[in-house]
Amino acid sequence: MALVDIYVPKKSPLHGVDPRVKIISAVLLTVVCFFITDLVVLLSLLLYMQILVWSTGVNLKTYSSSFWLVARFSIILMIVWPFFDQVGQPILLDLWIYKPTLPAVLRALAIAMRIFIIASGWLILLLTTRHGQLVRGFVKLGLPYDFGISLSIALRYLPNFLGTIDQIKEAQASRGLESSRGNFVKRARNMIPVLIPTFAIAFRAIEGLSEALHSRGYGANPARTYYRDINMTVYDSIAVALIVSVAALAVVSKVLGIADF
Amino acid sequence: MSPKKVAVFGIGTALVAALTYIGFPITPTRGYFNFGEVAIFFIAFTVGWREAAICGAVGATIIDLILAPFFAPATLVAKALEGAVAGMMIIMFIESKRKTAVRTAAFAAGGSLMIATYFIYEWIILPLNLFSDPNISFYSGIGPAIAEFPFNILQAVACGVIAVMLTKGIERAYPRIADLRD
Repeated sequence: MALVDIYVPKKSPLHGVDPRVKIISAVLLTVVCFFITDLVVLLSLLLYMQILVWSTGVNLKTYSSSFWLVARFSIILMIVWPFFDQVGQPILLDLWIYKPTLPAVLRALAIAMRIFIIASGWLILLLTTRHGQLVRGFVKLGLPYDFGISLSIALRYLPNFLGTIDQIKEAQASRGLESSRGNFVKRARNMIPVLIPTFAIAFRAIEGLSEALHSRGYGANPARTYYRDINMTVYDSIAVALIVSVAALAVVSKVLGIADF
Repeated sequence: MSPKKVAVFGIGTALVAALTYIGFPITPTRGYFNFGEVAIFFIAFTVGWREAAICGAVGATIIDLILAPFFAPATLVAKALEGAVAGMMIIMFIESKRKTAVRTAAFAAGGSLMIATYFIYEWIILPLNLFSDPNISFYSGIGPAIAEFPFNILQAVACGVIAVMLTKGIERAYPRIADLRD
């Protein structure tokens, strides 16, 4: 359950950056990554992202737990890729139909680095931004307020649901149900007695929340006021201008063939 | 937006996210089989296509951003398509008496789109721009997509079957659930 909210309360420079700057940066980084093919550029960017992650003050345990699925996918990608991409010389291994060549392995490595860079970008956003600030950032960027409050509700209720599912699992286990043993079919089937009460609780939560929002006059006044608002500083504006310019320059120069990186 | 809709979007998204988070390891690349699709299909069957699309896309993307952020763009599109198509099929055949058959067809259509989206993302989008060499075949990057393909089918079919059974049971226990549909 701890993984769901990975925000680390610290006082790093990145924690103080406006959430809109971090959201825009993460989205642009994801887009730009798909245009970079040069291994040296990718490696430099990857190292730079690791410095940024380190500057957030996150401990190694949180960091590594956030990356295990990324690492797992990268390893499988590196193994599977040469089965279909056997172009280039030299051949590094000759195992019947599995003949990984150096260029093919380097291409797989480039994709693995891409996904690590993308993961680092989004990880920085989540490590340094509170849920509330994140939602305010999206609303300020144009997300309709109704969807913003829905997202807040979702992030608020997510740990509750995970706790409820754990409780139901324990209650069913005390009745003899084993939801974490057996083969795939058995485990999936044994989750049904856990899922039914979970959906029933969700349905009741919708009814209760709907009445609570209605009784507080939700939607009666379309003009919204905020107790705590977020404001861009001059440094935030400069950062956005720089990031957007660099990203646009990188994509345009790559598409037009001006630069090869 | 009405308070009821806000509550449906909020709780529905949390439910999809929670069920995407719980799971067990089988898939070699994404790491785990999850029950997120059960919630997406359930919302599509009982509430509507917009709610299924938005709750599915946002709920699953929240978890992907934490566990596997490189899949987030694909998840956003795949789950939105899945929920929207399954929900639309239910609306198209809402008068039909053969609810189980319609729901099965709906999850098959939605699930197929989800599988196709992930397949294209892993095959074409992830290695984008890496095939500038004309000697490299268009199929060179298909390996990771093929490795994941059977597990995505398993995910969609198992969750679809569970969702059909679950919806039947919950509709019987809570007839008021019909009020959630517009």
